[in-house]
Amino acid sequence: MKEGAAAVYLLADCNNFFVSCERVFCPALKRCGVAVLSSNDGCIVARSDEVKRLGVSMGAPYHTVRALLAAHGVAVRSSNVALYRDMSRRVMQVLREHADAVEVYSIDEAFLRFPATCAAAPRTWRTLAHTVRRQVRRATGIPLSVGVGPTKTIAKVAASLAKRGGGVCALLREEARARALARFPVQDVWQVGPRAAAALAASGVRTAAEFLALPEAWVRMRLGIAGVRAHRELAGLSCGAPGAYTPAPRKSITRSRAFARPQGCGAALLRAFSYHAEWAVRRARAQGSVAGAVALFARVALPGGVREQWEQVQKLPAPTCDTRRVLAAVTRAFAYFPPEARAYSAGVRLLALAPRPQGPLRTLWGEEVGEGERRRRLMEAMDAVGEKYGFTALCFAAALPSAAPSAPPAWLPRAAWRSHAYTTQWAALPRVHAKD
Amino acid sequence: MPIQKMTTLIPCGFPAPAADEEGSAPLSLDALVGSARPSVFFMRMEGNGGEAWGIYSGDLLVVDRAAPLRRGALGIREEAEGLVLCRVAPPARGTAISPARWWGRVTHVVRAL
Repeated sequence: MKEGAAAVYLLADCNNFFVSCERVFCPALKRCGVAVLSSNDGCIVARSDEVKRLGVSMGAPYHTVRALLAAHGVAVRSSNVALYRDMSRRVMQVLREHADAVEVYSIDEAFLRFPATCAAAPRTWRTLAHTVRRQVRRATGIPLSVGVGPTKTIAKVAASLAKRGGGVCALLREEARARALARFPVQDVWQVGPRAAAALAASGVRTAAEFLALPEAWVRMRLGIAGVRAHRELAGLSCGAPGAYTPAPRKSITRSRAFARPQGCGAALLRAFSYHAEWAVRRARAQGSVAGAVALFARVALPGGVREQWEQVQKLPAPTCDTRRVLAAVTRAFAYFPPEARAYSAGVRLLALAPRPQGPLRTLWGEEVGEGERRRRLMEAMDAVGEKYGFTALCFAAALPSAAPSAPPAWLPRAAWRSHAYTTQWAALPRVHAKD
Repeated sequence: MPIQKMTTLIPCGFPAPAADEEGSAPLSLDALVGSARPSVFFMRMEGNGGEAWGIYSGDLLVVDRAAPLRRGALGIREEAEGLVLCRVAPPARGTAISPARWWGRVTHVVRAL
């Protein structure tokens, strides 16, 4: 662990990112509240300030707030992931012009790390934060909040204070920090989980300052090492290697979607399962894993109105991340789908994920199982094409969303209010008129 | 001392004349219009309102949000009805061009013939 003064962190956090992306290309949305829905238009995943003030919470199911949003003239949009990704790429590109060490933390947040010797006075850091904010706004139209601190955790605190007004908040000086932490709820501190927050609340600790005043031994005993890290970071001691944030590989990969219309046991339903399986297996390859088994699951309605969860697990002959083998297993598992049932959603889960072995797997008799070299190269080529031209550009026929490219798939999830892929498709560019 | 036979070819011809010369890379339209910059976007012209400026329906507009707005330049403005192509008018005396409602400046037009 290094002394905190060695570095200064700027957290650039896009305000209501998905909403801001929509507003860049549709100026009319700047004059009303905007809510963005999750995939399949299920729940609220982004809210403009107007919607936040209405008391609509993050993740609220859309049908519970539909009337409220309509009454206040709030515009609703389906998630437009292609647009958000591209706008995120642009924001990060601007950020990289300002710092060599940019750690992209999520689609709408990044840490910029500077050696503390870069600028002497806190005033200079504030100027830099304003410059970053202005340039991102100018280049992309996305509003940012910028928090500055000697550690990431403090930069996070600063960014959430910056969101309340001003857009920039620097907590580099001791006094400023102490003042801010005294009013900052401890459960909002980065990496203080709900369980730790409950334990702290039970001990009467409500603010970040009260948390900071606790002896480290107490924190270690009650909250474990994660608590100690948060505690030290709040004290201005940077923990964890900067720039080394990589999520741990997942133990299972799940992909599921609700249908626009319920699907009977037929080719379209198998296609939906295969499509999700292809998506999941690509994700597995991306993290360097092989799967030992694949599970299909669905919410189904049986004749007589009985609703239940259907699930079928199929073990793979050998751990693999070869799409063909997984698709074959999906087809085998699908044979068990009750013929009289109708599915409301379908999903695929890859189980027993393990790191991909380096060489080919062999049985006791030396027979090669799992992935052969040729198959591995085929998968690599498909991933490369998919990365560049999109998921369905090169795809197994079984996993295409519909049999004929012209026929829209019956099972694709709802996205009734999706805006165009303004920046990633020639046919979807923003339209411009001229005034007469 | 054992003598080793070299089986590889040793390059000793003339160097390609333009190898290190500046300006020897293939021309790139992307580089010309700066489409890799985060502030550059594409838009599509619709309708014949821009014909006076030589911009026709279906033209591809290259719009740079970060390009400075000069008087007389063509720009994209945010209006109630959407994004609108306008000429940047000379500002009234004593006022600067307010960037508030300008989306960006049109820097290039691409048209298929």
